Amino acid sequence: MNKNATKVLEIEGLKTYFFTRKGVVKAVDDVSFNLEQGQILGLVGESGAGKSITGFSILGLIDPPGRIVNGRIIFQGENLAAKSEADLVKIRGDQISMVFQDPQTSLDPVFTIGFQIKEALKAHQDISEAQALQRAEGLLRTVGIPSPKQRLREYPHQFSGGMRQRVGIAIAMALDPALIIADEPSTALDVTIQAQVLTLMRRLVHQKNSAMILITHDIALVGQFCDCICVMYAGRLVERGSKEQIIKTPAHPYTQGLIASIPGTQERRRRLRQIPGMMPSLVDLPEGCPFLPRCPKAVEDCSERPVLVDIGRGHQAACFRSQAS
Amino acid sequence: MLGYLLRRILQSIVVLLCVSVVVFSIMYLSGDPVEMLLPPEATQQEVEDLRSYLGLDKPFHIQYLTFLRNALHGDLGKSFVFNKPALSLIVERIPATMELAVCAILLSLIIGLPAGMYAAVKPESWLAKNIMSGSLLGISLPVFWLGIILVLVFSVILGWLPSSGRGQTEAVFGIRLGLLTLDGLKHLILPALTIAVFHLALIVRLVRAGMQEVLLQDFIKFLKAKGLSANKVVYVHALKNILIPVVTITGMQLGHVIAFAVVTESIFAWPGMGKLVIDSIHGLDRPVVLAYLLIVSLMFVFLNFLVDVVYTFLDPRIRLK
Amino acid sequence: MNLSGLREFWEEFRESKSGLFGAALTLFLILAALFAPLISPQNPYDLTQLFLENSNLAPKWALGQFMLGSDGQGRDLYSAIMYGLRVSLYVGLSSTVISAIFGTLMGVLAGYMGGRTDAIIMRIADIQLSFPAILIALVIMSLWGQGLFKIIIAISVVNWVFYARTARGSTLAEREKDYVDSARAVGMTSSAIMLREVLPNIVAPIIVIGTVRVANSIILESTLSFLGLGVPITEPSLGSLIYEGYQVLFSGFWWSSVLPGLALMGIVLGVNLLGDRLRDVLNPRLKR
Repeated sequence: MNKNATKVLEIEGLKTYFFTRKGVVKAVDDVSFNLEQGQILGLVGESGAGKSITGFSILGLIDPPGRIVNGRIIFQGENLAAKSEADLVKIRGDQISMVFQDPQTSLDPVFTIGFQIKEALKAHQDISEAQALQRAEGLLRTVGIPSPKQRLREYPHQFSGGMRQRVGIAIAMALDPALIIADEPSTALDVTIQAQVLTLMRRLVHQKNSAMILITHDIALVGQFCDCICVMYAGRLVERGSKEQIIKTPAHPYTQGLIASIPGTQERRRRLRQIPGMMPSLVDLPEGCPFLPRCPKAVEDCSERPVLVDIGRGHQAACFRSQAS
Repeated sequence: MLGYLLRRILQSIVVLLCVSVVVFSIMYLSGDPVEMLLPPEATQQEVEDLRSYLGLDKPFHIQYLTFLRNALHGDLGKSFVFNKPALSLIVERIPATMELAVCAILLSLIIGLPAGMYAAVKPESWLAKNIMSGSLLGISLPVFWLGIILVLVFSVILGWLPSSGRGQTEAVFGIRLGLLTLDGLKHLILPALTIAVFHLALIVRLVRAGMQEVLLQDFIKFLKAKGLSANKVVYVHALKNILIPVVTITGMQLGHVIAFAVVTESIFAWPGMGKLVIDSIHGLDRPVVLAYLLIVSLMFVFLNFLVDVVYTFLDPRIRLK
Repeated sequence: MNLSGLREFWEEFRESKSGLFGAALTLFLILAALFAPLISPQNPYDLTQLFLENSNLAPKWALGQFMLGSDGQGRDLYSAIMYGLRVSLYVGLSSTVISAIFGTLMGVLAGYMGGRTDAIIMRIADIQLSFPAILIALVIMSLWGQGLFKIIIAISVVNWVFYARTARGSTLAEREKDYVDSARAVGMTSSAIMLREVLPNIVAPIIVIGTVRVANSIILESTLSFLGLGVPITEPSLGSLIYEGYQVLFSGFWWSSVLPGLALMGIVLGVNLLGDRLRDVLNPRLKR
């Protein structure tokens, strides 16, 4: 990691809780990580681990009954968590943008693609209709959609899933944001399209020298496309480090389990291993390590909640057993 | 799209024919008008003469076909009471009823849309809760009683507004409208309001429910992530998305409004189709009742067709199939 | 429909104050109507008890005769309202029951049989639905004449389509389920399957529609009676009372039209609140 590279994002101790009738859901519980320019950070974990909520928290898009309870989100020197809604509106789409998981439902079905792209542009820049149209065309071309002029006049339901996702990416990149949050951008797509979409995104990030957070449950994907990786479980960060560190030498038992369940990473003799059990409900989590019920390496100490500790050169894990392995 | 339109037109014609058969059959089966038209001293011969004069001695299908043929020529029989063609009696009263109906619908939309949107966007506010209670009251109020209350308060007690009639009218393109005169407006307010309240309450509830549903959709979050202000999201995107059900319901309600005009016109002595048909029912003026039913059916079928067309036009998912 | 299910239902139902209020109001008015002869100082149908010099007396607001005043015919308004409530409820509820039974059967038939049966039934329903309820009822009553039985039938004719449509939709969904297949495999006849297997499972949405339609039916009957096309004047419903009250409104005798209207609004509001709440509570069950 280049010490001279600009830090785009610093998240310190983010806590986003949901205050529901059934109890307090600690969707994001004390999560911290940094992101530098030109980097792609992978935020990986099972469904419900809090990854998407982390992404939404950065943009301040948490609806009641949830809210950011604690923490700082330093973006380009300023704390987003302390900003007013009016300020955040200006930042969203312009300096930080988001790509959504399901292209089917993330575009307004009753407006044309062209309208929605131009709308994003005009929300932040004072440009004429003609200019906006031109830029929109250019954007579609950049994401590899053929005959852009005509497609601008079409509606979302006339596009295929992969195309729709590209439109979403186009909108996200329209104003050259410094940070892109991609929430499961390829999960709803075919495997073949998945690779295309992610390669495209990586190319754009490197071209514009921006930064990206790739949120996904697929650890193989982050292994392929990310520079550094953060692993989340039950709302907490359980391990973080560079790609090599996480993939080659995972320290937390959960991460180890995830890696082991990637088809093809094991020797041919070994059978595919799944992590047994399920992630607990986030309402009223018990004390101690949340992974305890499913952990093959659990010991008595694990009844106390582990914190992230350094295990070497920026690699950190929240596990009492990690030092030993 | 064209194919769809043609199919709908054909459907509408079939429906109209069915309705004409049903109405005619009920008419045919419901008693003999001849007895009622003649004084009790009339001789059997006079009864027979009148019957054959009116064509009432012929078999059912002949009578129906005659009726249909005449109808297509614009002849729906003559009123027993007024001795004028029934069709023209109805047609000359259509503007009055339509003026009432259109004003009522406009009123309900102008008040209902913003109220429903507000109730959806700020559900916890005091105003929103009152709007919702008010809407519940609105759909529980019988139209005719509301009319009576309004008359009681504004005419009898306060004496501000007139309680019957249409007031002064001015001709616009040959159609008499009361909207354009102050006197006409004063006469218009109470009846229009009476009809509007129910539809208003319906719109408020529909808009609120629709808005709430739309605001939960994924694309709303995406729009916010693009950096659109909350106002833009609600008043441009959410609004257009709920417009479709609102238009559909309003279209359906226009028919209801015309039907409810029957009651309101009776209370306010408003000279429209509705009052005429009630008077005709009580006066046993069958041709007029029959003519009313057919014309109103025609209007409904046409309205439904129009609503369908507008609906397909508004929803691009259907338009571009 | 077992005991614990009912208790669960009640637990959730009582969470809403408006729902409870609606239920209470409805129940109160139903009981008042049922016991009308016992709690009214006068039998308004008994012509021997009416004296014209008692007409249009202002309300006394004190317990006893003419507490709410009298109408144009000398009837004690409170008694007339109680009896009128009875008629209104009787028409509303019986027409609902009749149309619910007929409509549901039609809907299940259409949904289960599919094909021609479905097409015919639904086509008729669609045509009827394109016309406003009041118009259809108006047609029937104008050609048939006044009458208690007639108005019940007329309103039933208006309402059956709503039950049919809902029942058909639910039946289509149920038809694909496993228990229907097993019933068929065991050799049950179609009618047995429709009546004994499918029908009990679609009761919830029917109840929901029912509460909406009861309120509408009560309003429809009162509207028609107001126009003189409903119940005969010898057995006035709330609508007829309001009409008579309207005749004397301009002389300043407001009570004979306003007070019956309040009773009418009360029962409709009660049923609407109750229905709203029932809908909310039964809804998640529909999705199961």
